[in-house]
Amino acid sequence: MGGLVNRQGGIVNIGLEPMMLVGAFTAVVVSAQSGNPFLGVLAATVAGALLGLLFSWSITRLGANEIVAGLGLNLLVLGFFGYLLPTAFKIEGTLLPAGLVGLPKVEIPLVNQIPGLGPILSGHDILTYLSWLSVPLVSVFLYRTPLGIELRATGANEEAARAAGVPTLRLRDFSTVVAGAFSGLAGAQLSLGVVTLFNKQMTGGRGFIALAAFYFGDARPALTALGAVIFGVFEAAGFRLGSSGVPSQLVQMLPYLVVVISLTLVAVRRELRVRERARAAAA
Amino acid sequence: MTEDSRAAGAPNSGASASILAPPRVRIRGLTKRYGGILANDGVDLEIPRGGIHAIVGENGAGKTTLMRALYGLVEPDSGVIELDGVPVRIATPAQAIARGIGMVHQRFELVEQLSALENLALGDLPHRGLMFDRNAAVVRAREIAAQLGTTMDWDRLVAHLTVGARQRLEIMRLLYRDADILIFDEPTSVLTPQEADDLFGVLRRMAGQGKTIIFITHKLREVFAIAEQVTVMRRGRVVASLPTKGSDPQRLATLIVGEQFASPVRATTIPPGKPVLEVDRLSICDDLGNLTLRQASFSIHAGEIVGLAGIEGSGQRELVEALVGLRRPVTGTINLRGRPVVTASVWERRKRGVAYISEDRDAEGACLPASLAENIFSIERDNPTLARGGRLNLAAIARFARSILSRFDVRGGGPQSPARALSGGNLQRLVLGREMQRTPTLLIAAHPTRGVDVRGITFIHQQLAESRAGGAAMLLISEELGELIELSDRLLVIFEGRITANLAAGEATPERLGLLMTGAA
Repeated sequence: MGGLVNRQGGIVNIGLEPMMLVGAFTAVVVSAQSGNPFLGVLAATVAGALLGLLFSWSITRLGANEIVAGLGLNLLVLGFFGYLLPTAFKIEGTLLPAGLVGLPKVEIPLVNQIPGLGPILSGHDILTYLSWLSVPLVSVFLYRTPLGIELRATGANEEAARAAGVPTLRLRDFSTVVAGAFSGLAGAQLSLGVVTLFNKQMTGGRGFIALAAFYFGDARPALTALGAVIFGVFEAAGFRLGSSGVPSQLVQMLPYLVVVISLTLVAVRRELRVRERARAAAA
Repeated sequence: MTEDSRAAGAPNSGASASILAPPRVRIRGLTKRYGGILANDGVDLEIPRGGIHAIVGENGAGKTTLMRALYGLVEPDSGVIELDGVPVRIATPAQAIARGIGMVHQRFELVEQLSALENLALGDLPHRGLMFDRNAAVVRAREIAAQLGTTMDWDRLVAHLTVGARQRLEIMRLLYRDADILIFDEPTSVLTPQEADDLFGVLRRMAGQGKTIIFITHKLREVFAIAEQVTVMRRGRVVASLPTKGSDPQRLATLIVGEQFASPVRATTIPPGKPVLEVDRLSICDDLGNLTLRQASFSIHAGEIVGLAGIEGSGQRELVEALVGLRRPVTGTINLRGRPVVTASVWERRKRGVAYISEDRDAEGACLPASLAENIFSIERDNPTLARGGRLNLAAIARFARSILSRFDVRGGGPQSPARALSGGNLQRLVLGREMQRTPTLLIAAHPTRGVDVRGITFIHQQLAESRAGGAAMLLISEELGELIELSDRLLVIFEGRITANLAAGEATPERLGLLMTGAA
């Protein structure tokens, strides 16, 4: 959802992955220090947002190319952890500080009684519920508030938006900060919700899958969420197949393969539509 | 935001509202220079409040520059702009809008992915709390639509609106921002005739409500259809400002093109040979998917120069691109010496004898960072004396380049100099030499003398005439009517994407062409 807001604001953010990673790390460290996982989540959000702001300034004010800046951020963050973990924490792979508290699972009463659906809908950490809630919230923001409308105008046609008096640079910064904050939350969910540790490989390309999801969904909230679910289902299917004797490398490829295939289909459909319009115009 | 607040900003307007009320807009001595070219040369213009005022002139006459100055997009070098008799400085479009001046550009400034309503209010969206107050916007939108006597599907995305509806939306945006001077830059160039009629209805209605409409156009028919007053510009100056009543298209056409010397009718010495280029019902879309050339059919014979006259943007560029192989037409056929080439690549067409002088010398005609020799070699890649088996014979290429430079008198650099070192005129000689030395069977020459000095023009004309004498078929596109009439054996006129006339050399006069090009005849 964060990347989607960013895309609507006109920036293709390939820095979602490192922003998630920073969020995951911050969450683990703050949670361990304070003993309160919610403080960890808050810190992860702020860290992601700050990184987003930095990233955005380099693009909107310093004129950096968004792809180059995004690549740089990826390499920088990976390198940073590669250096920091052995030197500061004296570990190679996984950070599991003493006193680390994960997020509690929340059972929704009644819902968890529903056979079949219960375990799917209930028993998650608060951030998972928040991510579900974010779909309608982002939708309302983008389509029902002046700020959201101006943001979409900026992303679709910056020149026209500026000519109409919309502060386009500030809006693009804002959208990147939102993307950073959401990525930070996503990272915290990984490191405090799914597992309770930090590893610099733990995001495993999810920031890029998110990118693929909003391309799949044409940056519309509901469709993008659908895309994310589809990719998630294939990832889960991969885990199941892994225990049934299919080579694990092939299985792990599955979600990414689905991403590539679905993006190709989306592109082909768009191209066909353009051609159809040209033909219609000539007739 | 209201009429009153602006009137208060211009106190004189109310005070002297008698017969001697100052004009709504007065421009005095406005001059704007771009490099060595005077786009506006001491322009004086008065436009009274209310009514429709047309500004006409050829391409590059300075109309658009003048209006851009009024709208704050161009900063004039000197001169004064007065609104209601009060001198004002308009440095940005925002300041122009604040003073009630709005402009509808040829290219609309709408966000396609937003709805009509969102576009209308963009930049000044009404809100209640954090939420967009859609109802308030709809009320305002309906008011404005009623004022214009039109309707709009406010929830539709702009991407799904017709061009005519988009233009109405642009107009309504200006009214939403309380503009009362509305500038239209060739508003009908993108419209169907029906949409144009609707637009005229809207303009008349606004004029009736006391708004001041300024209307830039090439089309004389439109001037007489809706304007009360017309100003004619030529070469950066106002040459006449007169009421449309009591004038006629003939007189305006003469004012627009100026007194051109009657060129002697050239005797066609060579009977035209076999057809080289045959174009049949060719339709082409531009990059935006708009149909810019409709069902064009014509042919060009060996030893014949066919001139193509038309206002810029009438479909010439797309036609040229399709002939050269840079753009795939939507429908229709192109035959070169009897063989279809519609799907052939640029290089295949070149190998069959097509040569091309591009109107965009710096981007398409030549590669500026590359050397002169490389520029020449770029279309000689199949010449076995210059390259064989994937290896360049650099010495031979340099020798070959030197021979072209001296034959076509290209000054300012040797074979190894970068093309950007050459002046425009010399660069054009280089391009011309490169194309001519292959003795083309079909030459597409788009604005071959644009930006070239007098000596160069004469030289280029000689070369084109020689090429014709050698049996080449040629399509010549130019905005210089004198050049077209002097060189062409036959003249086609293109208007709004259609070829509307096919004249023999003797039949074409500047006046007649002017009328045909502007759709007045």
